[in-house]
Amino acid sequence: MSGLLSRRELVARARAAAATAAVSGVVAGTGQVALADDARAQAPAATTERADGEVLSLVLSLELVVVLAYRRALDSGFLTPRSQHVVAQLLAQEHEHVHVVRSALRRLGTPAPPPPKSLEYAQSQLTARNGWGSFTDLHSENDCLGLLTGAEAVAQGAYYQALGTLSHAGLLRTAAQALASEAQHETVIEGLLHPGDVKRSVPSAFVEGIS
Amino acid sequence: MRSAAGAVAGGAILLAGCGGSSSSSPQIHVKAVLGVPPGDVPLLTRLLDLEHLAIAAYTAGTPLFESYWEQKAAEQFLDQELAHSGEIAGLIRKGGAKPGRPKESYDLGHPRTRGELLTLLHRIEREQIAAYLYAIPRVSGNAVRPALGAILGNEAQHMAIIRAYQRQSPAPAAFVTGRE
Repeated sequence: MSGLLSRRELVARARAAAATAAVSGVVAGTGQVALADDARAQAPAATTERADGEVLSLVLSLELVVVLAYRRALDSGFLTPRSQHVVAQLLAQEHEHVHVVRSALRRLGTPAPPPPKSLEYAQSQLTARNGWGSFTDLHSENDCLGLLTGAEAVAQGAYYQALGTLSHAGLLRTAAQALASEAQHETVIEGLLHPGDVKRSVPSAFVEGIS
Repeated sequence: MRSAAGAVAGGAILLAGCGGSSSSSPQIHVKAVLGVPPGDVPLLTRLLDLEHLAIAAYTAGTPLFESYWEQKAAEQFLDQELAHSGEIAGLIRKGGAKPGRPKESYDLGHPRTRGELLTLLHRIEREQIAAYLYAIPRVSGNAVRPALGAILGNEAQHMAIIRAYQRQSPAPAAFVTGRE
């Protein structure tokens, strides 16, 4: 697979996304299209906002676990230079997810959850959602990439569930875009683990993750 | 390249028999969605039309790949598109309507090289992703949205692989838009 975007390109896209969100007043990710002409994009009622905030709070708490998993993999010293490069690019995208979800929570008036307070806590969050891999027992590149596939499955599950519970049209679109991104991350990581084996990197017709 | 109706229809029969090669059968997914508002049917019909187009393209295009691995990937993606079409057709039935059938044929242009074929498949996957992203915030059924999201995720994975074959970044953005 060819290289992902450069860090400079990612930063530029993140800035563009933030500018879009500020102008449209709708939570926006990279390339987000405002749904201003859609009646469902009107400001939701307070109860709906509260419910959306609760959903996104859970999503963010799990995204922060995912970010920690990526950091553990990058800091492990077990990744080859090629894997290190790819994993760093994917982590940058996870940071974008965190940024956008955190911004949405701010607009909804919902406090953002803190990052995991310890590796043990992150592990408990992963395990509670049937995620696999260990934050502490990393001895090889495969261990690290395995942890990332487990974390990605949990992230997919969080966005998949959110699609059934969110109300605001802009948030629904953002969650769908992030779910698709996490699905691509799974494909890229499985591609590092099993080069050329598409049965492993695109295993199912339905990306639902785990929860 | 023109996909014959017979080949596509044959694919549809295969779907009914085995539900595609994925780990989750379409029937299980549709059962999980208890009700589909009739107002969602037009959007679902558009998605089904695009699934039929993708099935036609993979059916006609797979033999053109010379690499063993690329041909295997295309066969797998065809199975997955068949599973998607079964899923969407099931949702349309739950909405009280009859799902449309594939067209007699599809004008897919005249790709002669691997590169031209990849360009065609890339365009179709992109079109599908954009359509799912358009539909998800607009369908009113709470259970329908995750079902569409699950398919969207798989289409995004197809695009990642196709982009990689084209020597492009497989995951170029943190938020998939369908414009990649």
